[in-house]
Amino acid sequence: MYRWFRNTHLVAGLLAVPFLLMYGLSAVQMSHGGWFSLEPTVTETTVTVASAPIHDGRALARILMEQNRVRDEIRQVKATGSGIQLQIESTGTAYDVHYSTQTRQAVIRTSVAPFMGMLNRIHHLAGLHSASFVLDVWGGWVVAVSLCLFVLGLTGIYMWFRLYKERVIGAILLAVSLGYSLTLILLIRGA
Amino acid sequence: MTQRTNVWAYFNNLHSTTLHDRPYDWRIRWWAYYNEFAVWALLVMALTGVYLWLASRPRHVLAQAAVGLSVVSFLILYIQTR
Repeated sequence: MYRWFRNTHLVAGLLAVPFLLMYGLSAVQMSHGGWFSLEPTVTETTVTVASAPIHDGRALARILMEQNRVRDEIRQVKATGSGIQLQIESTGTAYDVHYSTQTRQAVIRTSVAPFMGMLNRIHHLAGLHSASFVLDVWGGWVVAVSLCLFVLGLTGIYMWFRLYKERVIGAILLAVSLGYSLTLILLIRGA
Repeated sequence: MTQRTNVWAYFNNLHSTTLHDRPYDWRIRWWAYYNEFAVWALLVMALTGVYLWLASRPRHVLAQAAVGLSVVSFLILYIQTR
């Protein structure tokens, strides 16, 4: 029985480890923002979109998405005096599009977050009905890693309990941890 | 009027409370210290867990499959997302 728990603990931990490192590192970044630069890399490209002028922002976004110039979620569509302005976002990347109906050209300003910025955005991904298949797969992994965390906790406690020599120190640590956290959870909720 | 959030929203708020927010209330500040400890503990547990696997049973086939699947999936998703 102990062997089964130990193998389950090992497999669940290794299945979750890159995601746990991502959550841990991005949590450090969120807690200590000043330690990391989140300056994005910005590039600008100009493209001719279609032969006829476009007046509908969503149609413009669709064309640019079909051309793989932008992707994922439209945040803002705005008519300007000379054309259309779009803001589109995918995880860690922001697209600012200025389209001119006169020239039929779109200037796309792309801002890509650095590594820690990407981890920050990935940390917030969840759900299985997102804007793209890739985001849904991330969502699937979030579910799997959450289950792995429960398995790790339960099998870890079982294995500790079976180590008779470490029962006392473990019980003290567990009591302190639960006492501290549950007391604060109740105190903050009641405040 | 004071409106109380539901318990899941409350847990969500708790999990995102960090020292970065410079909490004024002592209870929330103490919770932020606990979260800070938990974040570093998570990193230490993940890294020592990998070390213990490599030091004790590196040839465990299921373990190799699990780490291969998760690392390759993570890298592919990261590249696709970027």
